[in-house]
Amino acid sequence: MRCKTALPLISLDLDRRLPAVRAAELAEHLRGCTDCRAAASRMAAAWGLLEAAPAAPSAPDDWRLIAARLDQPRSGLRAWLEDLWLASPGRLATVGVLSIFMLAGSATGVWLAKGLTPKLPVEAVAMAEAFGDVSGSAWLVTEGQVRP
Amino acid sequence: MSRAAAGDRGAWRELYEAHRDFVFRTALRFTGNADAARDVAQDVFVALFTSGRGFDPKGKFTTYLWRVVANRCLNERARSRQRLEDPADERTLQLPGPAEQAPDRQLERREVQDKVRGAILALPERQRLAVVLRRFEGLSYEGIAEALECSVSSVESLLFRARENLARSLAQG
Repeated sequence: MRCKTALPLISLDLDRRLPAVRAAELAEHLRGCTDCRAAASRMAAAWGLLEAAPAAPSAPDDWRLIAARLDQPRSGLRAWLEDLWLASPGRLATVGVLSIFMLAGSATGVWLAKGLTPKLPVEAVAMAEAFGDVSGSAWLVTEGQVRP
Repeated sequence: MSRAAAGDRGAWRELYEAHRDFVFRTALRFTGNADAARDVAQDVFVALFTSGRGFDPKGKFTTYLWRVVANRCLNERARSRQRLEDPADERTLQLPGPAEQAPDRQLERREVQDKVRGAILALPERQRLAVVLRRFEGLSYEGIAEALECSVSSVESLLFRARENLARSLAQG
């Protein structure tokens, strides 16, 4: 097992999420690798030190404030978007990304269409200027590229 | 939750009482500031009871709650940046030590608490939230994945990187 593979497994092992076979492979690697053993020790120590974080106090009773806000009328697009964002930013983000792709696709389509449109050679432009044929179709007919 | 979804105010109050500590604790550990945590908690419950009318009673309420809490905490990060710059804010996770401890032990304990709190608050937001939910609230990897709307392997990666960052921060000075 390489160190690059072992390091993330150390984290999983701290949470007892490794299957027995994998845990055994990791243990085997740690026996032979000083660096990974040191990393495992540091990670375990840091995680254990979080015990020192003080207990959080009980929540204040803010029900009256919440009820007062619930009694206020909420409407409009902003309220709808806020609720959608809180409930599922993933969905909102997906809609946004898809919209960007659609816009980009449209812009790309326009760009491609312009690029693929045959450019008129200098002769066609000159003929158009001489005969007022702005589309250049007269030249294309002359060259046999388009049927009249 | 069915009664709450139907707009029963009494049901809302019951849900609030049942879950307010979890919401406040998570917000407090995430923001490191009691005022911010209260704002987050209020916003969470207002959002739950406002948009909860669309909640599917067949779904699991706690999963829905975790997701709203996580989203609100992550939204708070921009506003909390200013508050994080005020380390002298005493209305945070500072509890007095046991009275029988000697003053030097209390000071040492407080220093360790400050160091741990600083290391947690220095984590990137998603890593911080994953640590708070895992270490302090005991959520499973699957629960954290639901809350953060990501895959379990993303949670594994978040916690691994968080542990590396914590190890680095707590090993320094």
